[in-house]
Amino acid sequence: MSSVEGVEEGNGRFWMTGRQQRDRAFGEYVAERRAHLYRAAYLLCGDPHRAEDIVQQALTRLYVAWPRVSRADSVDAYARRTVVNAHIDETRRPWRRERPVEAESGSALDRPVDPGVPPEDSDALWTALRGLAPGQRRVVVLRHYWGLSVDETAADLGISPGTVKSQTADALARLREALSVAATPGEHP
Amino acid sequence: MNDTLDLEQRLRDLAAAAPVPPTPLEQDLERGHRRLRRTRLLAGAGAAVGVAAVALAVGLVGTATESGDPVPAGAPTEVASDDPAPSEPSPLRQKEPNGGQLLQTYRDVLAEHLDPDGRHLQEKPDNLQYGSGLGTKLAWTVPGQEGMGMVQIFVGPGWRSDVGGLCGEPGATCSKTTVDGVTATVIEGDGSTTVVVRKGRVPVAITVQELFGNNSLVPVDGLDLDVADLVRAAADERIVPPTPKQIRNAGPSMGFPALPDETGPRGQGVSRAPAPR
Repeated sequence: MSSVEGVEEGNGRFWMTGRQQRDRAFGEYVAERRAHLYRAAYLLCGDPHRAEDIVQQALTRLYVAWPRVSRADSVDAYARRTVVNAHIDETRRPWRRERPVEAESGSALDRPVDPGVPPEDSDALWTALRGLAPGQRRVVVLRHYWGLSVDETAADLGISPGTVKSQTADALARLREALSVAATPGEHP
Repeated sequence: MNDTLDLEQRLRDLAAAAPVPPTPLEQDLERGHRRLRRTRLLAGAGAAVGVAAVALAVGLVGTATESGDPVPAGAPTEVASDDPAPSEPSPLRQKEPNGGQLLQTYRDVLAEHLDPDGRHLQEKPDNLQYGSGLGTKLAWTVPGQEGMGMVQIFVGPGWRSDVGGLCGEPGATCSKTTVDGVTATVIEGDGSTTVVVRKGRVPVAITVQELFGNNSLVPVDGLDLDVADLVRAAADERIVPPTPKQIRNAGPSMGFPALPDETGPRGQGVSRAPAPR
C-alpha cells in the first residue's frame, strides 16, 4: 500500500495528492478486474504469456487515460477496448502474425492444460477458437464472453453492426462444425 | 439458442480455468508512471519549440491541473496529477543542432517509443544515411544473444521513404493504418516492416528488421515491436526534417570526412565501421 500513502495535515484530516488519488483508484480497479481482463486476453490470443503482455499494455494505457475515463465513468469499457486494440496490434506484428489453424491441427496449440476443465473439452474448444480468424474470435469473445450487444461490439471494434452480425454467424457456424466433429459419440457425453 | 448458451458457458469455463499470473500491483503502477512521464515529456517538448499552438495549449492546461497540490481524499473529481513536475530542461535546442545532434534526437525519440527500458537500441548513432533527407541505422540487440536486428529512420524524400517504390518490392505487402489519428503506410516484406508517415510533404520512414544485414549474420530474436508504436514514433513532433545545412554537416559532426555534395534522390550511406557482408 506504499503507493497510495497520504499526507497527514495539521488538522488531522487525511489528504492525498492527485497522483495518490489516481494510484489508489487505479489500484482498486486493477485488483478487481485484472483477472477478468487477463482471461479475456487469454481467450483472444490463446497464449498465457501474450495474454499477460496484452493486459500490461492495456493497463499502462488505462493509467495514462485514467482521469478522463474515470470522469466519464467508462473505465471498464476503455480497458476492454485497449485489450482488444492491443490484440489487434499483436496480430499486425509481422513476426507474430496470427493465422487461423485448421481445426484438426491441435498440435499447434501452445498453452498449458487448463486445470479444472476436462482436457478433451478444453482442447476441442481451443482448437475451434484457434480455427477462427482473429476478427471473428474478437467478435465471439466480446459477444459471448463479455456479453456485449451487437451495437456495443460494433462500437468497440469500429465496424458496422452488420459486419458484427455476419462475423458472429460465420464464427458460430465454424465453431459448431468444429465442436460437432470433435464431439464424436462416446467421447463427449 | 441452446448452442449459443452452451458456447457461452463453455467460454466462461475455459476462461475461468486460465492460470492468472500473480502480477504485483506495483508493477502495473510503475509501468503507468513511466508512460505518463514520457507522455508529459513529449508535451513539454512540443511547447518548447512552439511547433503547434494546440500542443502548446494542451501542455499549459496539463501544467495548470497537475500542480500536485493536495486535495481532500475521496473528493469526487479526479485530477490528472503526478508528482510536481520538475523543471527539466527541454530536450530540444534553442539553436539549430548539427546533423549528428539531430540524428541523436531521432535516436532518443525512437528509444522512448520503442525501447523505454533502454535495453536494446544502440545508444549513439554511428551510421549515416543521407541524400534529400537524413537518417541512420541503429542496432537492436538482446542481452545474452549474439544476433543483431536493425531499426532505421529516414526523414525526407528518397528511396528509403518512397512508398510507391517500397510497395513495389517483390514480396512486399502494403496497407494503411491509423493510430491516434495519424495515418501511416505499413510495408511488410521478408523479415522487415517499414512504416511511413507523412508530415506535410516530408515522409518519415522507420524500418525494422530482425537482421542487421550489414553488421551481423545472425538475426535477433525478440525484436517484437508494435506497429502502433512505430507510427507514434514517426509521428512524434520532435522528428523534424533536416535542413540542407544539417545534411551537409552531419558527416563531419559524427567524425566522418566531409561529405561530397551528393544530396539527391538516391542518397548515400556511410558507417563508422566497414560493413562486413
